[in-house]
Amino acid sequence: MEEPTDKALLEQFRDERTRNAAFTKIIQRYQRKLYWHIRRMLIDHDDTDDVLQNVFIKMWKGLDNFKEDAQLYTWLYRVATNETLTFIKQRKADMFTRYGDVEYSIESKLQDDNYFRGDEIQKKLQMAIATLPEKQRLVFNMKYFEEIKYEDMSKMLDTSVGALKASYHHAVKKIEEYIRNSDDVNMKS
Amino acid sequence: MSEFDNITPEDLDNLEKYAPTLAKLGRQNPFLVPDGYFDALPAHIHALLSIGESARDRFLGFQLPDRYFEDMPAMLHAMVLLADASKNRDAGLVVPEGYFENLTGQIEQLSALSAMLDKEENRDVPEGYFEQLNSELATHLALDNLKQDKENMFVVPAGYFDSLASKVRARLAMEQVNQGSDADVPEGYFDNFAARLQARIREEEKQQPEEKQEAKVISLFVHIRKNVRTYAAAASLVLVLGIGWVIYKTSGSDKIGGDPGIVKNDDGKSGNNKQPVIRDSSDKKNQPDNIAGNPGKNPGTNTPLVNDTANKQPGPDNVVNNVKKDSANNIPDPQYTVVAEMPATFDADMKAAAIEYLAANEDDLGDLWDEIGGTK
Repeated sequence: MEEPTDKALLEQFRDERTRNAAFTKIIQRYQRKLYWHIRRMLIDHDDTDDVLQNVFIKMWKGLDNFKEDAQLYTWLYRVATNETLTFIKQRKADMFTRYGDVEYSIESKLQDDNYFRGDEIQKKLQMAIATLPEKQRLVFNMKYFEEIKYEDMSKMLDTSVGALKASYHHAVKKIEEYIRNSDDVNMKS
Repeated sequence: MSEFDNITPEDLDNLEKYAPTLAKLGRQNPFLVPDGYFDALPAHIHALLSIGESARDRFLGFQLPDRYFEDMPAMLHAMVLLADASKNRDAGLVVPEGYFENLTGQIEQLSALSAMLDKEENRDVPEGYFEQLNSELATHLALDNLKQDKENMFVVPAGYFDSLASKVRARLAMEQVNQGSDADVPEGYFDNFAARLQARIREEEKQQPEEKQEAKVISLFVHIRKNVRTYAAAASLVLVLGIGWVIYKTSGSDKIGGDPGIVKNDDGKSGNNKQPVIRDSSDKKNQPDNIAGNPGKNPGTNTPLVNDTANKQPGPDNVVNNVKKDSANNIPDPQYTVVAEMPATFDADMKAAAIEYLAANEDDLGDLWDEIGGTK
């Protein structure tokens, strides 16, 4: 049995009788992609869960106004990206309010995450990614792990393809340097 | 143009060229997801939505009216204007002078007019009522004014009403006291009080008529007559003692020593000079008290008299003390002489005087006269 297209699911969602079923299918179709998109940015599972729920609730509220000239997939990624960046900004503000100059640290999250199974090399890679600016980190994750095309990524992030390439290029350079430096330190030690 | 514009995606994918170390790491997903998370996620999202679309909203459970925040500036501005207007709400409104004082009267007049109108509607107005209404109103007003004038003619003393309450309370207290005293008098006590008083006076007059007459004149001899036996016994005793003393003296008057009649002469000489000394009863230094009373004191100066050679005034005290001294020595003191040598006619004189006294008081001393066997 063929899966219904996004267009078909949107039509079912607009129908009151099939709205819940269509909504469930949309969630099931995009929940993993959106989850990993958010998780690679926030590292922590609980934070990711909160943001992902907000993304789907916003989808429920705004799906009636969704324009069909855009793809549902692109629109959901944009919503998830914005929610993730907003969450990070809020956490930074909360940390500054509570602890002063202690910043919201992705590295610390990585150290404390119980749901991280990677080895030291994987952890080193994640630590290198965590040192990147948020925009570069986002582009690197989407390109390196999710293998999203620059064109699609340009629609999702509303950024030019050239800017995405540059971000990705700078991100790769920084990560390479970080890993090399850490290896040199380890070999010397 | 940036340097990356000429880079194709394939070039960027060639990590072995740009990032050989990163290329060796691989693209494994190091993160874990709780078991069954994705299976339960749709139901969890549905549950959240069923609780409420705003269940995850920061205003959980609270809702705002439509366009609340949009309309808030205009509402606040309106509230400020209303507050300013409320401060000056009385500024533009003027009440005629004396309006509230006359309001009650005006309402009464309106009520009367309303009643009249009601009567007019009911066609119960007497014939010619409205023609006489003005004159009747004028009459009522005149009567009211006259009444007020009459009331104003009376003057109340200053502070009358201030002290009225205290006066009333005082009067009530007095009435309570009077009521309490009446309760102590038998019922009808004062009704026949005058008659009972007069009857008692008459009864007492009948019982003691003589005493009341004697009470008018009080005689001194009545008292003496009542005590005549006492006086008579005293006089008899004095008389017997006096006679006995005279007899004793006449039988042995030449002895000196142990004789109480020895006194010191005024000139301090002693001897057989038996010149009698008559004591002056007015002389306080020879008062009888000194005979048996204070033997060593001068009654006038309260100074000792014994051996007081400076005090040459003799007295019974000195007589007794000095006699004892002399008795101890058993040698007659030449300074002392016998002074109580009575005349031969002393008894006769004394008896004559007593008889004369008894004769003068025959009525009062009748019993004593009989006792001494005197003859009139």
